[in-house]
Amino acid sequence: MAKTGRMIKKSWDNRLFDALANTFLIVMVVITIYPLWFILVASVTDYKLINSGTLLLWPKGFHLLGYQRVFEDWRIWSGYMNTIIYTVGGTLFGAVTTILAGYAFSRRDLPGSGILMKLFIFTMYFGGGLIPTYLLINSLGLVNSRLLMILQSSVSVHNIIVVRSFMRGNIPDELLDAATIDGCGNGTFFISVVVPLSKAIFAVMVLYIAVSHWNAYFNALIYLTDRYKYPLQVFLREILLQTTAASDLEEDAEVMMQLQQMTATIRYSVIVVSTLPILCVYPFIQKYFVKGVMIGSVKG
Amino acid sequence: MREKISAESGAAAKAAKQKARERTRRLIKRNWLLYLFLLPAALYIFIFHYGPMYGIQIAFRDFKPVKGIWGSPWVGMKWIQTFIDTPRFWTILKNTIVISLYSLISFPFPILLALFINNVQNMRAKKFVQTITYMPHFISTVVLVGMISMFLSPRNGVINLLVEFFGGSRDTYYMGSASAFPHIYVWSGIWKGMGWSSIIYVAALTGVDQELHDAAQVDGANKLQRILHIDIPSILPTVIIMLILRLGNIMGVGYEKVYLMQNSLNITASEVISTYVYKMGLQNQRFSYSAAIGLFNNIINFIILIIANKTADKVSGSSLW
Amino acid sequence: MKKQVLAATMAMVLAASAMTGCGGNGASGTTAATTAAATTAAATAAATTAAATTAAAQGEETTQAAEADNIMPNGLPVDYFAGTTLNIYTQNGSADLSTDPSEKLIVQLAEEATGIHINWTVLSSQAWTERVNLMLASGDMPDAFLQNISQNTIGTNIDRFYDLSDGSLETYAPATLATIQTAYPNGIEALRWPDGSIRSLPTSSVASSSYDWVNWLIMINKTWLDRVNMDMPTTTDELYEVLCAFRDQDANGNGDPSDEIPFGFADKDSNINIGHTANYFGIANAKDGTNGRFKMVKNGVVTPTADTDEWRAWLEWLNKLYDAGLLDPEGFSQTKDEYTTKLSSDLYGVAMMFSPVHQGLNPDEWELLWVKGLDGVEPVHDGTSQYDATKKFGFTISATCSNVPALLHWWDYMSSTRELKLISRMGEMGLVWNEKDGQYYSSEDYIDSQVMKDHPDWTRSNLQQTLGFNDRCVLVSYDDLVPDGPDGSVLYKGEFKPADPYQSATCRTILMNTVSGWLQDEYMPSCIEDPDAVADRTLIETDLFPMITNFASTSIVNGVTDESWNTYKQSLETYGYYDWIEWYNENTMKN
Repeated sequence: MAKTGRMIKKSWDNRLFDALANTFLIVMVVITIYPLWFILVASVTDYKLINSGTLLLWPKGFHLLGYQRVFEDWRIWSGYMNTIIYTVGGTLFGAVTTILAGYAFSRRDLPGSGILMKLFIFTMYFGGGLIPTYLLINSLGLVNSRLLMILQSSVSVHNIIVVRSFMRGNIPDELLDAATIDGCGNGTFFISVVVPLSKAIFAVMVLYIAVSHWNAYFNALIYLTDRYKYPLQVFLREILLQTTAASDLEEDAEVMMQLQQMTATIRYSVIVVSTLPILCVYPFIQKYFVKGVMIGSVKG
Repeated sequence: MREKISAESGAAAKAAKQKARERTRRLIKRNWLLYLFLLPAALYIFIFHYGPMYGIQIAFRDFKPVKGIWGSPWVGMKWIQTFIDTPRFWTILKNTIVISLYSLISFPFPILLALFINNVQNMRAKKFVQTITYMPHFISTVVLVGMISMFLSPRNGVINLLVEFFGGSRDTYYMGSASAFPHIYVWSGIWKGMGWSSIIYVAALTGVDQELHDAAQVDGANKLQRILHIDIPSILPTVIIMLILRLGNIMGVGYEKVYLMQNSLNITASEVISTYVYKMGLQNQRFSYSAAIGLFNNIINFIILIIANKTADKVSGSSLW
Repeated sequence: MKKQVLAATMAMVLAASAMTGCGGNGASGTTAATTAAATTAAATAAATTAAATTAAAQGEETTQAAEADNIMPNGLPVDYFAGTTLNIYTQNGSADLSTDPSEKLIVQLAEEATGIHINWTVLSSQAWTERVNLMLASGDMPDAFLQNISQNTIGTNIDRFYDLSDGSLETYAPATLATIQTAYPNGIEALRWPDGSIRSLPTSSVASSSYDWVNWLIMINKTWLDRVNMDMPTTTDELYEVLCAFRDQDANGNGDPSDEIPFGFADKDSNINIGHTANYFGIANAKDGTNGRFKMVKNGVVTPTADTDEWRAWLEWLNKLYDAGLLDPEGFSQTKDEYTTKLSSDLYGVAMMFSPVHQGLNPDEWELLWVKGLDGVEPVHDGTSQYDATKKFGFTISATCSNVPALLHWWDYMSSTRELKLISRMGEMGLVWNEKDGQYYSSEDYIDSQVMKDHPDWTRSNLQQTLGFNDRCVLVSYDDLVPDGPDGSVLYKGEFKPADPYQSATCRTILMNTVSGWLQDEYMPSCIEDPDAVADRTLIETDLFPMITNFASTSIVNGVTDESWNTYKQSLETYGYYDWIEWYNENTMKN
C-alpha cells in the first residue's frame, strides 16, 4: 500500500467508515434515482409501453405528446399562476409567523409561554372538524377568497416546535445573558444575533411551508368555487383522477376510454411539469446549510 | 424555569411568593416584544383552530345537518360503542397498531442519511446526494402506488426478476399478500420520506461547532468517534423533539396510501382506522360516527405524546412543554 | 357562425312550440286544462313574487291574445318571471369542455324566452360531494343543484330540500310532470319519499334508449380460439380446457408461447370484477346497482346468494383456474389502466369489456362468452330489464330557494317541447341529431360542422356534452330520444348511412340484443327508501362487503375447504348478512 503524506492522515478506521457511509449513500442514490429516471422516461414514452411493465431504461418511441397536451390545457396555466401566488404569499406569512413564535417559545424567561404551548399542542390532536371550520370561514367571509388560500395551513404547530427546539439548541443562553448585560434589548438581540445564527432553520421553514403550499389542494377544493382561482394541484388531481372519480357512475363508456387514454398519456408529464419548479427551490435553500460558520464565530 | 419558580413559591413563605410575582411582572414587562412575536401565531391558532373547536361535540351527538351541531341530540358514547361492537374492530385496531409500530423503524434512517451526507467532503457530491434523495417526496401517492405495484408485479416486476436472479421464485404475488402488506407499506414509505425528513437534521448539523471537531481531530479521534461524541449529542435535542412528535402521531396511519394499496386479498391486514373512517365518512356520510372514531384515535395519540414527553423530559431534559 | 346557428334554431324552436301550443299533442295534454287554471296560478305566483304583481295583471289581459306563441304549458306567459336571477351549482360532465353552462344553447334560449337569468357555479368533480355536504350542513345553499346528489345525502338532509309535493309541480311544471309520468312505470311515485314528499326532479341518463341495462360483458377472443384449434366452449369445464390451451400455446401468434394471460380481470374495478363469472353458476352478481351483488330476487323475495352451493361451486371452479395459472396473476391488485393496456396489447384471451369497439378492439374478433357451470342451474346474466337509468336526484331545489315558481317555470320551459328537450340534451339540431321527413334521428352531420373544424380532436361525446347538458338535461323519456334510422343507420347529409358495426354504439346494441335474452325475470322495484333505514344498511355493508370479497378472493387463491366454508358461513351470520337481506325485503320489496 502506497503511503503518501496525505494518506497517512487518513487512518484505516476513517477509511472504513467513509467506505461504509459512502456505500450507503450510493445505494440510496441508486434506489431513488431509478424511479425518478423512470418517471422522466415515461413522460416521453408511449403509455402503452409503460403499463406493459417492461423495464424502461431509455425512452421508447420518443414523443412529447404528453407535454403538448399538458401545456395546451388552459387550466394548467391558470393553476400555475394561482399556485405561485398562494405559495409565495403563504410562505412569507407562514415563515415569518412561525419563526417569530418559535423564537419567543424558545426563550425560557417568558411567563405564560408554557401554557400557550400546551394550548397550541392541543390543536395538533383535537379540532372541530370540517363543518364548524367551514361555518367559521363562511362567517369570516373568506369562502372563495385568495386570502384564505394564503392564510390557511400556513402556520403549523409542528413547525413552531421544530423552530423552538432548534433555537434552544443553537442559541446558548449565555449569549442572551451577555447581550442583556450589554444593555441589548430583545429586538436588537433578535436582529443581530438570532437571525444570523438561524439561517439554516429559516431555510428549512421556507422549504417546508413552500412545499406544503405547493402541494395543497384540499382547502382549495373545499373553499373555492371560482375555477379561475384553483391552484395547479386541483387541476392535476382533476386530470389524473377523473377516470376513477367517474367510474362509479354509469358513465358513457366511450367517454371513459377517451379519458383513460388521455390520463395515461399525460400522467407522467404532469408530474414533471408540476414538480420541477418546486424542486428548483431546493438548491437555493441548500446554500444556507453550510456548516460550522455560526456558533464559533459568534462565541469568539 | 417557570415550574421551578412555582415550586419554590409553593414551599416558601408569602414574601417569596411576592418576590416571584414581582419577578414575573418584571419579565413580562421586559419581554413585551416577545409577546408581540407570539401574537400572529396565537391569533391564527385561536381563530382557525379554537374557533371551530366546539365541533368536537359532534362525536357525542347524532349530528343531523339540518338541526345543526347545537340542535342535534346527545348520544354520549354511542358511536365509540358501535365502533367497538363492529365485527372488524379488533382486526382494524391490530392492523393500525402493527403498521404504526413497524413504521417507527423508519425513524433512524433520515438521521443516518444526514450524518453520512454531512460526512461527504466534496460539496458537489453532497448537494447531488441531498437533492436526489429528497425528490421522491414529491411523487404523488397515486403514482407511488402505481410504481410499487409495477415493480412488484408477479409477471415481470423488477423485484421478482431480482429474486429469480438470486435463485428464488419469480412469481410471488406481493401485492396480493396480507402478510407482505406492512413491509411494502413501511419500506416504500422509508424510500419516499427518508431524504425529505433528513433535511431538518442536515440543518441541525450546521450548528455543530467546527472547533470541537478540530480539537477532537488533534486528539486523534476518528470519524466514528467524532460523530458519536460531537455530532449526535449536538443534534440530540432536535432528534428527541422529532421522536416525541413522531410518537405522538403513532396511530396516524394516513388513509390515502393504504386505501390505494388495498385489495380484497390484503384487506385483512390493510384496513386501518383511517381508511375505515374515510369509508364511513365519505361513503355513508355518518359525520358523528367518523368524528367519534377519529377522536378515539387522537386521544390515544395524545396520551402517547404525554407519556413520551414526560419520559424524554426525565431522560434527556428536552421536552415539548 | 354560432350566432346564425342560434338564430336559426331559435326560429325553429319557437315555431315548434307554437304548434304544440295550438295542437296540444299527447305529451302536453295538460295544456288546455292548465290554461283554464292560468288565472289562479297567476294569482298564487303573484303572492309569492311581490314584484310580479303588475306582470300578473298584464298577464291576465294578454292571456287570450298571446295564447298562440308565448303561453307556457303552465298557462303563464313565457316571460312571466322576467328579471329573476337564480343561483345554480353544477358540476361538469367528464367530457364537457365548456367552462360555463351559460355557453350552452339551451341556457341561452331559456334566458331569451323566460327572461330568467341563471348564475352558474361549476364545482370540481372531486369537490362535489364534500362541498354539497358542507353547504347542506351550513344551510348556506344556492337556489338549486343541477347534478345528482346521492339518495343518502338527500335522505339525511331532507328538510334542506324544497318539497315539491305541495302542488307546485302541477301548477308550474306540468310539462315536466307529464314526462315523469311517462318515464316511470309508477309515474311520479318513483320520486316519492316514504314521508310522501318529493325532493327532486329527475334528469336524463347517459344510457341509450334501451330499457335493458347490463354491466360489462365477458368476451372471448375468436382468433385465439382458431389458433389453438378449439370450438366455442359451452360449459365451464370446456372453458377450462380452452384456457389451458391459451396458456400453453402461442395463442396471440407473436412467437412467444408464454406471454398469454388466458383470463383477464381487475378486481378493484366494479366493471371488470371477476364476480361477473358467477353468472355462469346461476348467480347474477353485478356491481351494487339496482339489483346489486350477493343477493337475487326469487319469487318476489330477496334471497341470499353468497352462502349457496352455487356460490361455493363457482369459487372452487375459479380456484381451479387460479391454480392452473389461467387467471391474470395481478388481477386482484391491478388498476383499470393496467388491465386496459394488457387487453390492447393482445395478452388476454377472455376479458371483460363494455364492447370491443369501446376498448379499441376489432368486434369481429370478440364474441360473447356464455357457458353453463352446473347441471340443472341455468346461467343468468347480471343486469336488469326495465332499468331505471334516469338520475332521480339530478335536479334539486333548496328549501331556501328565493323563487321556486320561477325556477320551475324555467325548468318547465326546457321541458315544454320535444325539440327543447333534445337541445337541452344534445345541443343544436344538425349536429348529433337531425330531422328527416318530420322525424328526428341521430346523425353524423357534425362531422363536417364548423365546431369540429375548430376543434378537430373532439369526439362525438365531447360535442354532445359540451353543447348540451347530456345527463344533466331535463328528463327526456325513451320515446322522446332520437332513435337510430332503419337497421341502426344514422342520418348523414340528409341520407341514411348504413349501420357501422365498428362504431361503438352499434356494436354495443348488437351485443345487447343477445344479452337481453339472458337477463333475469325478476328485479327489485325502483323506489326511495327510508333514510334512517338506509343508514342502518350501509353500516352493515361497510363491514360485510369486505368480509365477503376477502373470502371470495382468498378462496380463489387458496381454495375452499369445508372448514373455511363453515367459518365463512358463521361470519356471514355475525357480520349481519341475513339482516341485510331482510332489509331489502322489508324496505324495498314492500313498495
